[in-house]
Amino acid sequence: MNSNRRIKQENQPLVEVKDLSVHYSTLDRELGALRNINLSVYPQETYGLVGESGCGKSTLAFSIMNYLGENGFVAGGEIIFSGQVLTEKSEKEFRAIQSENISMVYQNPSSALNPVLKIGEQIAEIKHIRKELSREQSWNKAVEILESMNIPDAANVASRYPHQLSGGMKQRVCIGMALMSEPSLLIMDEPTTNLDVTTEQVILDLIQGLKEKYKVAIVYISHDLGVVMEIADRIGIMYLGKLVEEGSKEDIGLRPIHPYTRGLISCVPEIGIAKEDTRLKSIPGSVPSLTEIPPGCVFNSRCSFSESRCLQDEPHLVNYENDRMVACWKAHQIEEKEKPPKQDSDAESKRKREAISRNGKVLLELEDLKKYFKNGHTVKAVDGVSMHLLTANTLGVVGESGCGKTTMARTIIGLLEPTGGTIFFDGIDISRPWYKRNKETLNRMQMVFQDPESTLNPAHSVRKIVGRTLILKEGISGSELEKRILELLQKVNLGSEFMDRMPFQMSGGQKQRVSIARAFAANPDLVICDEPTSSLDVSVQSSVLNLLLDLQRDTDTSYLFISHDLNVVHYLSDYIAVTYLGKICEVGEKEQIFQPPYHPYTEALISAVPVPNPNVKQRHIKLKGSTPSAINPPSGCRFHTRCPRKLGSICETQKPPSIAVTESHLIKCHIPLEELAKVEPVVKVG
Amino acid sequence: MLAYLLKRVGFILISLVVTSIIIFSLLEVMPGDVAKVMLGQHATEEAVKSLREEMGLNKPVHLRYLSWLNQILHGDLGESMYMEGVKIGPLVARRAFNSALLALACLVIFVPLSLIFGAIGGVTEGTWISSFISISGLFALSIPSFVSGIFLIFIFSLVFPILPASSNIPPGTTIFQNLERVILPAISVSLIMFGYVARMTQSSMGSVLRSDYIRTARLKGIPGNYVIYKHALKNALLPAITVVGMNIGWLFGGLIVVESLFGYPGIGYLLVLALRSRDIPLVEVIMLSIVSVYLVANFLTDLSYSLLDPRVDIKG
Amino acid sequence: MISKKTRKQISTYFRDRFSRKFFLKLRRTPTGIFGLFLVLLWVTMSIFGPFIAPYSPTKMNMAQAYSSPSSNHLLGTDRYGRDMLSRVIIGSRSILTTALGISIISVFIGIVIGFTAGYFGGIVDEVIMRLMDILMSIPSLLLAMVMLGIIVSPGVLSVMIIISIVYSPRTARVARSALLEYKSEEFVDAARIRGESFFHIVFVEIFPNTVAPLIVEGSARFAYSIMTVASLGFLGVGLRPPTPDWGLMVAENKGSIFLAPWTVIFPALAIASLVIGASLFAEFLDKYLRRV
Repeated sequence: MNSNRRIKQENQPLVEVKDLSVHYSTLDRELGALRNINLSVYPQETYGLVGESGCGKSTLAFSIMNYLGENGFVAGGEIIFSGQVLTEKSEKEFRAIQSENISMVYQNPSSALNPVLKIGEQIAEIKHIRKELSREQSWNKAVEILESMNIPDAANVASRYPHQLSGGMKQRVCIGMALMSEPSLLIMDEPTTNLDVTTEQVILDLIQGLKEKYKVAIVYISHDLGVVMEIADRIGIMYLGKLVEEGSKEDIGLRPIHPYTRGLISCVPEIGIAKEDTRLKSIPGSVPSLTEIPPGCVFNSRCSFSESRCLQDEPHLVNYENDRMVACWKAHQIEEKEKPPKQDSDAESKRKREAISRNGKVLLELEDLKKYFKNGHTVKAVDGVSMHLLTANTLGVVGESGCGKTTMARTIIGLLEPTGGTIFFDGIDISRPWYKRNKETLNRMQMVFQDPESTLNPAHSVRKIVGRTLILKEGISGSELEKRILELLQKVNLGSEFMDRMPFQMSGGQKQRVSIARAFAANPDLVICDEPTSSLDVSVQSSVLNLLLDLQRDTDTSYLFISHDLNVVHYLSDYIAVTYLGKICEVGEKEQIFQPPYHPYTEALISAVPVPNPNVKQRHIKLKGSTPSAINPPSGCRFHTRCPRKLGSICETQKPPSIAVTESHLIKCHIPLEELAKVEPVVKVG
Repeated sequence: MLAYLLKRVGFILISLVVTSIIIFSLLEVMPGDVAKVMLGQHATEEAVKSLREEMGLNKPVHLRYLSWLNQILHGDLGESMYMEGVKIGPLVARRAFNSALLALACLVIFVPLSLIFGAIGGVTEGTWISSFISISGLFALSIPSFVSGIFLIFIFSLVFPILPASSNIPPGTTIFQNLERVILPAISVSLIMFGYVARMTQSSMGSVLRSDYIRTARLKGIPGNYVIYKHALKNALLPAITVVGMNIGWLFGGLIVVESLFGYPGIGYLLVLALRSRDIPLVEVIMLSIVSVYLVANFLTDLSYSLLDPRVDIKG
Repeated sequence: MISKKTRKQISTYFRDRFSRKFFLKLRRTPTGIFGLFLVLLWVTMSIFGPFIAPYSPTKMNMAQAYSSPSSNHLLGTDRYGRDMLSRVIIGSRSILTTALGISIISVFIGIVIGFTAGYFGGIVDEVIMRLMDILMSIPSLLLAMVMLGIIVSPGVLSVMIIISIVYSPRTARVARSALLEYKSEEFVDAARIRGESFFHIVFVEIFPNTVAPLIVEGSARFAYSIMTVASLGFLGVGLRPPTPDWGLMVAENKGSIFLAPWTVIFPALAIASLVIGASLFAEFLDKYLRRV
């Protein structure tokens, strides 16, 4: 805990942001995107910058890079790099200093690379344009850098174009490109947000290795506290243009003080905690827009500790203890309070759930379900999936991109026609597309979609969106219809003022609630949730998840919950199925999945999930390569090309058998059960 | 690659056959025919009838079409009905050559000019220069070719009499000896294409300069010129190729009206005359020539686009 | 076919979009204002034409032939002594009506064809779009010229219909891509799993969202129509004399451009001003509707 103190005493800060304010001028007004920011980054340290959308973290990055666009400008304060006051220099000088010493890696590697230039050239030009090396030398250096990014066959990759590489590879190229100029500071803006969890893990490991080799300071920006905890020494939390807390990762992770930080941490389902144990915390309200910054403390409208002082005076970032900075009037009082006690588990519903889980009726059953897409080549998106779901139960389906979970969901609900196998709903065979199913079945099964921007018709009001199902199903109208719509809105915690709102007037979380109301209007027995919270901010996610749980408790609806986020799935589900490349590799009760014996892929997935708790020890398992294409899936066991526990040729030639660990827990693997059971748990708490 | 080429060529051939059927049928439905036109308004019915018999116009339409098709496939483009004894092949070839001069002037002189203008407009986004380029581009592409022709004649033949208003080539001279007669028609025909390409290049360059990969280049410390020439230009010019292809149709339309305005001895003017005299075989051949050039031009544009953009994979 | 409620929905949609925000944006765009002004100027002239025009556009007066602009004849007279000012003013009626008709009809045909191809996809889409491609392989002016040549003395309606047919592959393409943009949205999926009918999905769910690009296309077609109608008139295949068609006027008098330039320049300026106005306003609509 005192390591960062030692560094500070020895060195001067590499980059110092002093009282920085950055504004954007729009047509009618000026927005204060950053207000009085103070932070410093020391040589070779990794500083994690955390915040949700709109907090200004990217603006801060681009201020240091001097790229604020046409209407952004520094309204006050300074940026000092190695003693030079950059903000006082001319454009040209600022750019010269910045390009020599500071590099950036961006969120979207696909758009960051020029589609018509070869990879090698985009890296090499940094040296030969400045005449530091000849063209040939620069090219060779570029290939060298690609090799140290662990890119196989680097010379070949260098002569290819960006669209020929996968997302993870592109990001590694971008990191290599950033290191080509030998910077002393590397700013990384959400570099792994668009990548799969296992790919993310590979890149995080890569970055850890780079710190030693290149001796570079890193500012790592992310909204994911868990990821930042893994890689940073010190962490700063931003909210609505202000830095509200700063400290070492142990301080932030174990003893957060600022109410926002506490909120952020408690929103994420803790590892090992499930719905029966406690309700998810959420931060009430939503992030205000930059046009409506509240007076006083910027967080006061959502803070459960706020008092009158918080509404009038703005707290400054002060040294709380030992280089721990907090901007809150009530910092001392909050620390003294104990961690809020675990809510009394809802014992009654826990019992009810257990009863249903063990003896429930089968609501949905898949028998060897197949969905292939034929377009010249055949994409085997879902290739023989069998599982079942009981009434009033939640089955979580987990997997990364390309595993076929969304295709499976769309086939079950009828948007796609199955290529093979059968779907049984309440005993009835419904293996047909939606237009061939009868109305009653359609009403009993509904879906909540992923993208709040796409899920509501931009031309329809909430009233029309939610009311339509009621009209279709029950033919009601007039005041009766009005009443029912209001009831539904109430159920999803939306007031009557939302009746006539249009989608563009609502936030992401609100839109998702409307889409849930729409799904529940038909009183379905089964609701398929396809990544319903993936596009939402963390603080909003938890309230939507709580809502889904409440609705389930009231209506005994079953959920098929699809996600790539293992933590969320663990929290919500009763049973979990892990999918890889169109097949299920493990299925069982949720606790069984998280303990050995594991399927090797499950093991890797659990190891890659970012956990914002420094006390949690996670084994890191690196998977080789990336997910193969579904056009030509590997023979035998699909996972053998990346499996760290591969036995040998048997994995390549024979399909793995289904090992029944218990009646409800199945693993498909060639490794004998006794060996799998001996494996150490991936995650240990404490 | 081969499959792609075959598919395209197949499409061109089918289009040509369908087009020839459409045109033949349209001409069939037209009131009046060449015999009437030749004999004039006051000819007797009998005279017209016998002339028609002589010209073979009384045979049923599908037989006439098939025999014409057969004739074409053997390489014989036939003779004009109206202008007796004039072979269509050499006539159309001569006129097409003249029109090609105008089209070439457009593609070889004006298109590169418009690319430069457009690129400048894109780079200077937000200044009066780019607004000026954008608006003049809009003016250029909105005004019909013959109207710009009139304005050009007004300015350059009337107010400042430096260029001739008629493109009648005196007999005994070639077009190359009368190049000053080609200038105004060439400009009139090219203005629309110029406007489209300049504006498209401008907006494309503007959006390229705002893209993430240009941001990456700038923040790597790449100097301004390199950013424009090495990183931006190719990306910005690719859509311009598509625009050229899209507007070749307007170019042909422009040829027709501009040649009529200036009396330029091209294929457009010939078509107008042929239609007036209901000279079916001549109309057919001209239409098909224009359509095939149009199709081939489109094909070449698509081909060059896919060869230049590394993201497009023809082989796959 | 469209329920009252849907009609109300569409009109509310328009009211929201074309409210104060529209005029605010317009005020900030000088080119848009100028364009709208030019178009409205000609629209006014065409509506009040018969009352403003000092003479009858077809009345000949050989004694006054080729007289240059004077207080009697503000824009001079042509070779038959007809007053140019009156001819230009009255000439605006036919070209505006025709252009308006074409933009509406061609977009309508485009919606029918494009929505069918886009919604059903597969082989239906392939066949329809190939047919459209073949039709588009004949340059539009050429095709219109030949099709109009069939009719001895075309009226405004025939010109409208024929040019609309010629334009329909292009409007079909726009309608189709507008539909495709929304076809794969999640709210359409939500409608499907409710068991909605084809009509509901296309007209209640998707169509209201495609109105904006279709309006933009309609305004672009309006501008193109003016060009095409004027060119066809110039070629002599549009409205026949003695109707005061601007393109026809240019063709009739081009021989006398040195002798009496006013007989050619003023109709040319009329065409140019109207089409520039229409293009400027169409561009403004495009920029405005894209944001909203």
